[in-house]
This record gives sequence, structure tokens and C-alpha cells, in this order.
Amino acid sequence: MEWVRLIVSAVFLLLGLLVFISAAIGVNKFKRALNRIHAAALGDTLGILFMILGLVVWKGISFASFKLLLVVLFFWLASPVAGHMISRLEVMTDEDLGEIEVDHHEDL
Amino acid sequence: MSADAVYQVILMGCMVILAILILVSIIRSVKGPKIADRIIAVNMIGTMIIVIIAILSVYQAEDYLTDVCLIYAMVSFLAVVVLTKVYTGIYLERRGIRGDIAAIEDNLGHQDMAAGRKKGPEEQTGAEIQRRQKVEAEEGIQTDGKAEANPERRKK
Repeated sequence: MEWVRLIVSAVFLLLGLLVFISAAIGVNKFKRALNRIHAAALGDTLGILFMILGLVVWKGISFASFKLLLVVLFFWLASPVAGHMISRLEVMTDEDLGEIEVDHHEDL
Repeated sequence: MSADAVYQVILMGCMVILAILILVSIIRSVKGPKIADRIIAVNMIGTMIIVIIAILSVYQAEDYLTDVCLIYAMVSFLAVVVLTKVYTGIYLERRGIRGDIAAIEDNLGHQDMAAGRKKGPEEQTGAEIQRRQKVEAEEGIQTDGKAEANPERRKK
């Protein structure tokens, strides 16, 4: 039983590492900041979920694993807000951004 | 070899790989041409450090490190919010623009100029002028009806 838990946990950790590696490669490979936000948000949501699920599977149900899941919940709430603010900074201040489409709403 | 010892090796390997990825992200945060690239890279470094602290709390069987994790997540989010607000404010102050919509339209004027299809105030549709007047009325700016995003006004 202990070995089964170890294998499941190790698979989750490996998936999380793969997501983080692709996020790091994407941040260095893409040419524009708006594309880099996409790559970075990958690690912020899916990567941290896989890593912490792996740790929670190994630890079992306890108060510490509940707090680890709380970190994931907080990240899922905070990371889109952070990405939105960074992209707004980029759209407002980058003067050679190129062609983008901006939706105007009358009640903005 | 017990499962516990094997798992310790796996956790150590994860931490080493994440440390290497942090170094890769630091390269982007040093090279990044725009300030937004640097903020993205710093945000990603913060995420990886949070994962490393979470792994460390399991590795050393110290439950209080999960609290450090939570606080680090909040501080990292706060840092991103403050940095974006500060750099937006610096840019707007340098341009002498107030308000977010005016800034976006100012930048759209830049894009139009770069694309070679300069759009003067007389070509604007009625809805655009109405919207701009509404925005200016809300912010209390007195203008002569000309576009704030007019590219000519910035060239002083």
C-alpha cells in the first residue's frame, strides 16, 4: 500500500515538473510579453496543482495537507488577477506592441 | 530500502530540478527587454519557490513550513500588484495622461501611426467622441473636444 501511494505521488510530481519545465522553456522561447504570460500562467495553475496533489497523496488527510490545498486555492484565485494586471501594464505601456484588438464596452 | 527513503530521494530530485528552473527564469528576468517580462519572470520564480517550500515541508516533516508557503503566496501576489501599479503610474505620469482608457487609446494611436494609417480627429466616429467626452467628464478634465489620444499633442 505504501508503494502504491509512492508511485501515484511520484507520477503527480513528475507531471508537475514537466509542466514547470515547459513553462520555463516557454518564458524563454516566446518573443512577446503577452505570449510569455500564457506560458507562466501554465505553471501557476496546473504545475502547482500537480506538485501539491503529489505531496498530499503522500501525506494523507491531515491539517497540513489541507493547508497545502489552501495554497492551491489561493493561487487559482490570485494568479489570473496577477496575469490580467501584467497584461494591462503591457498593453498600456508597450509602444511597439503590434496589431492587437481591443474591445471597447460602453459601460466600462 | 524502505518507501520512505525512496521518497526522500524523489523529493530531493524535484527540488534540484526546480532550482535549475529558477536559474533559467532568472535569465529571462535579467534579459527581458520590457518591464512586463521581468515581472512575469519574477512571478514565476515566486511560484517555484512556493513549490520548493511545500516540498521541503514534506521532506523535513515540519508542518509549520506550509504556513510559510501561504504567506509567501500572498506576498508574491502583492508584489506583482504593487509593481504593475507603480510602473503604470510612472508611465502615465511621464506621458501626462490620466486614467486607464485614455492610456489605452493613446497606445492605440501609436499602433495606428506605426501602421501608417494615421487617424485624425475629424475621421473619428460619433461613438468614439461620445465615449471620450464621457470619460473626460467623469475625470473632470477640461479639453477642447480634441482627442487626448491625438499623437501630435505628445510631440513637444
